[in-house]
Amino acid sequence: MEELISTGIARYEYRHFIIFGAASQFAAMATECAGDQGAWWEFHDAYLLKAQARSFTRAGALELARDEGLNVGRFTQCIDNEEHRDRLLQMQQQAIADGIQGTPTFRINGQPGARSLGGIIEQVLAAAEAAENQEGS
Amino acid sequence: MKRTRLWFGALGLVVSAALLAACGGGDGSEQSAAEAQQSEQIEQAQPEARVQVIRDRASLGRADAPVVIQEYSDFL
Repeated sequence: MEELISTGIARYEYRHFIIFGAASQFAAMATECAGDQGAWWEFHDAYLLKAQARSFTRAGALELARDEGLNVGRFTQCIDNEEHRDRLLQMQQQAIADGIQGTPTFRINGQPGARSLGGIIEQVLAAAEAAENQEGS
Repeated sequence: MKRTRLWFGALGLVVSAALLAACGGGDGSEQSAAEAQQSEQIEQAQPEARVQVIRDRASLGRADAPVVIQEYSDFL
């Protein structure tokens, strides 16, 4: 996947799709609040890749924010006021409207993605070739 | 130029897959070292094929990339 992005063939976009309730909602909110201070990916990595369970609590998220050098007061205000609640809700509704039913789900240029990484890579390369042919014609 | 990028990307993926398969019996550290070496080789062989990866909020890559991969996920 990295190859596809680093060679300019593809762009990757992450969309929150909350299926596990309040803790998931909180993690998504904390990540968006971190994003306000330029640390979206740091929180994403902490939650998804490192599976830092501590981060799913308010105290854990604040600790993570401190570790990442964020303005903790601003971050706290953001999560306590649920400043990204509407955005997350809108994202969820759009995903449901697009037919998303579970996670992880991939879409390639708006079309349903394959279930395997190999299948997704094939789809991406085919879509890139189709885009190129369209541009050339 | 775009076709060249596409081929380099495809080539990189094929080489990565072959390398991963070859390292299947090794431990994690062996794989990491091999992947790093392979990545370095691609970097050296195709410097013109690389573009700056734009690490934006919730997205990676160029805004004008021909293909957009969207992942819907839940952190839990």
